[in-house]
Amino acid sequence: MAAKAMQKTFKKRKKKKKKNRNIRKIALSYEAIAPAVLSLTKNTAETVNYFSEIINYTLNGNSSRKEKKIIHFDLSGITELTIDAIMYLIAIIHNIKRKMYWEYEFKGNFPKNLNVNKQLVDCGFLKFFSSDYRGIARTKSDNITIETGSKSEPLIAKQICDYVNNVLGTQRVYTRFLYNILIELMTNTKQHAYNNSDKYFSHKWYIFVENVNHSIKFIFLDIGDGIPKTIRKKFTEKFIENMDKIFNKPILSLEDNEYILSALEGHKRSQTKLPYRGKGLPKIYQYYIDNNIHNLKIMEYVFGAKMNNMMTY
Amino acid sequence: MIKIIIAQDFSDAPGGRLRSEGDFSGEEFRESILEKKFEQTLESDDTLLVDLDGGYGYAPSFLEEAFGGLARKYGFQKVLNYIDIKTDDEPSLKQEIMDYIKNSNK
Repeated sequence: MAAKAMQKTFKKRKKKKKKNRNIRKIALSYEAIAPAVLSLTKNTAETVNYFSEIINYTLNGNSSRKEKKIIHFDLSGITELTIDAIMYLIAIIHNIKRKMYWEYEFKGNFPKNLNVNKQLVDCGFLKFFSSDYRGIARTKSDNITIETGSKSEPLIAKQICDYVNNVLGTQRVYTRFLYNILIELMTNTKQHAYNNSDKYFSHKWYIFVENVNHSIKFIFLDIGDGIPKTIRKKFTEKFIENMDKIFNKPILSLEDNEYILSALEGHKRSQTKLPYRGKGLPKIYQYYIDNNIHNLKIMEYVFGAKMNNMMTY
Repeated sequence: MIKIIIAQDFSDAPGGRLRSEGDFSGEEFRESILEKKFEQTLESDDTLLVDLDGGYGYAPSFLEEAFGGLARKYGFQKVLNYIDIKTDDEPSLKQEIMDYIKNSNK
């Protein structure tokens, strides 16, 4: 009897042991507390540092497949928000998930500020993540939610043009220049933005459109290598850059904004080296010169590095 | 006269340059429609009219790949001799396309 009882206990213990072997350790490891003003345009330094710390944490090998770590995004303290920062947040999470799917889990909370909360919901943030959020429902807000893609998406460009014409009461012909700009930006991202990037990068672009007092604002971004790194450079420019690196002192190299301007002005900067390529950026610049678009800003941020490497144009 | 109305025969929302970049690319348009009609035009010694009206827009990459690509295959002079462009919605587009044809190998 006693022997049988002991056998049963032994079998139970064995089963329990087998069960535990399948459970991976999950530990809350990083609390990413967002600054009060989360905005790349209004609070650049703090926002870039916020994202840089998240990226550096994941790059420093703090997790493994055996011990999945949770990154908790604490957005509760945000009192002011611009959508460019949210788009970057989505892009960064997408890339971490793609490269380190088994190593990280993401959780978060929502801003306590009701206006910021509504802004976050209305821009379409929730469609990128599964959530049991039961807060403010998306109202019929006057914008197109954040869209993303990895190739040229004519349907999205079409949708945006229809939206603009609807808001402004114009015809399709009026937004032809806008359609061209959108297609060129999408294909540029596909062809060039991630040329030197880690192959695990999610090669996506993100776009957001909103009506601000009857003036349409567009934000288009990717988290590729940046125009200065992906355009073709002349032999002398590369030579000078290498010399500057050796002496650790940028003396004669062109600044990044000079490279961008050169590409915009059509100075044969296509990586393909084909003479008939590189039409997109000069066309977009021409639209700006012709006043089809206003307040064109091209901004490049270097994440995962110190603030003095950040540039805006 | 042989005619192509891009918005009806291909797409009212064309894409970028290459097939690899997405749907309704300049490469796809040239290979599936433009080259075939151009060869018909050459055989019948006619004129090929390409109508660009009605579309949402035409990215420079799309136009250069379609028309510049045609000129790289058949020679820019031949293309200039046999092709005509209709673009009432955006008149400046005609000169832009002519420039892509003339500069197709530059």
